[in-house]
Amino acid sequence: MRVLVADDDTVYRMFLGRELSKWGYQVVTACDGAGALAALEDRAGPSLAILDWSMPGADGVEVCRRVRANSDGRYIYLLLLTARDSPADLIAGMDAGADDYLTKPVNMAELQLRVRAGYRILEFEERLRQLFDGAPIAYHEADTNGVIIRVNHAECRLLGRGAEEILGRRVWDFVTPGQVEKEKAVFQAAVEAPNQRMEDTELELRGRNGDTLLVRLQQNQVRDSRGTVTGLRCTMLDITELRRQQELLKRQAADLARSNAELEQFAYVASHDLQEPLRMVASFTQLLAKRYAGKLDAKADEYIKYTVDGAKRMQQLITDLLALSRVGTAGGDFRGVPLADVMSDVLLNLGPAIQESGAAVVHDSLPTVLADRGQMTQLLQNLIGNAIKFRGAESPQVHISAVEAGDEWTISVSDNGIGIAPEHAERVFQIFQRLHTRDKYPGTGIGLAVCRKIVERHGGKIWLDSTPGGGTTFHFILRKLAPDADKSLR
Amino acid sequence: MNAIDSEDTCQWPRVPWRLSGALADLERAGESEFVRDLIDAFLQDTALRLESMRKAAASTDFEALAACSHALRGSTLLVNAEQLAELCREIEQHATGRKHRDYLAMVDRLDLVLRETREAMMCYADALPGSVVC
Repeated sequence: MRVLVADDDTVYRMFLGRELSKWGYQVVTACDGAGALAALEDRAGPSLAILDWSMPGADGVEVCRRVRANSDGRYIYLLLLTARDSPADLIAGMDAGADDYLTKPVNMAELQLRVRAGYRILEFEERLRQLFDGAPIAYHEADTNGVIIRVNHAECRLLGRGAEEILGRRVWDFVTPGQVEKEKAVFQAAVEAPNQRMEDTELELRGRNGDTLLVRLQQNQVRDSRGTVTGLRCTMLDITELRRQQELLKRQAADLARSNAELEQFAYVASHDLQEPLRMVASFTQLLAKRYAGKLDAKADEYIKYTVDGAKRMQQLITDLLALSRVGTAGGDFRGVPLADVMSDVLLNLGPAIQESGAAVVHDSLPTVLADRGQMTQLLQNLIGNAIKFRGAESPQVHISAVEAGDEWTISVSDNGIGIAPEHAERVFQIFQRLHTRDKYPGTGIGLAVCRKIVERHGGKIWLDSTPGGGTTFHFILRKLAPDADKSLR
Repeated sequence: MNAIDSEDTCQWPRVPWRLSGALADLERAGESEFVRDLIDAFLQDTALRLESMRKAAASTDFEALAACSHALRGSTLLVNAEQLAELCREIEQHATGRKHRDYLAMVDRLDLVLRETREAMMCYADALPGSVVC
């Protein structure tokens, strides 16, 4: 730790130098103001200076003033030494930028304590400086005229300039030409504002290579002990890439939505338009089977049977495909839907299957959710229908329950069926995906795809827990009905 | 050598200087040579300052007089030259107030006290361990 002792009095220089050396400091001496300033200009020079007030050339007070005016970002702790001891002298010295003040004759124990205190402040200042310089966010301080007086490394990197190219210039020197007036106005408003922190604003900066950078600017007032605004502390967050990505995402989302809408429209139109010729094929093949069964040879009967089966299957596929495309295009409005009422409809619809299989379908108390009632019926009917269809050796046991979590409900449909292997847990929700042969479990492989589409249209998600042979539980999340919405719907 | 710490132990009729605590501490710490250097520096510096004061007094330059006496007072306080310090304070006070006084007479008085102080200091310094002449 290097200390400067600047005093034109040889005795004091010698004496203080000796004592400071004994305390472990490296001592640099100067016998006048010019010598003191030269020593303090050296970046590797002393960081603490003991300055005599009365020196030839620049006196101690003048040295304080010049050191503070020419700050290169490094803080120098200044301790004034003088035989003057009036309050007016003390004020003049501290006002010039001195950190501390000691009167002659110097009490050495006191000096030692004050130098130590000075170094504690310098250590703290150094930690702050390292934080400031090492911060990943661009930061500068400007006086009330907009002149930048401090800048950190992150801002130098952002602007592609060295600190010496930034310090002393005005904030608006670095914005794009079209933003100069805006920045001047924003800066002035921040200086004059009654509150210390302004609302963030966005600003376009000019990079070194003429590129434009978009930053989010935050401005905070710097006030002195009397509450007077002396400048602004500003942070700038580079949001150029973020904004670019946001725009890209927005475009991609719009493209995706358009593409999805087109696909849905295509699926709807295709399946709808295919229905009519297929109905004709199915009708006539069925007519053919009815009229000519046993009148042609056995091979012909077999071929006609295949044709009729194929046409029926295709009709079912097209009906299901149409149902899937209608989830997005022909969905109803969202209203408060009591799931208990939906369950009554579902049990009615599935009555024959329940009766035929001997299934027991029970449910807990179910909530009212914000949903499309028709689609809720379809969703629960598909899941419960599957639970009955994919049953094991025992009669199907189906249990529907609901758990509240924040502003959502998790609805679960559990069964004691054949279960699903974990590797197929995601695949079953894809369209036309089947885990079993058609002979064993008939179907088109669209039911769970429809379920997922319905849940996603409601802003939720669907998944399953299962072990082969141990039953399956399907869970899906639905938004809760807002309390006021509930009231208005009643 | 023990520090000269009271009027009774001095060998000269008046006491223009008593060993200050700071110098005594140095002496006790075995830094006699440094104490001697310090006394030499004080005497040389003071002689030069006295010369400047005399010029300022001759031309009634209040500012220079106040500055010189102020500067001299600082080191006299450090070495505990109380009489010199008191005279310096008096001159500084008058000069700062731009009062017309017989400053040349005051500087003469300062000169006289300085000579006595020098004598006392030299005697003390010569008696320090390691001194060639005592």
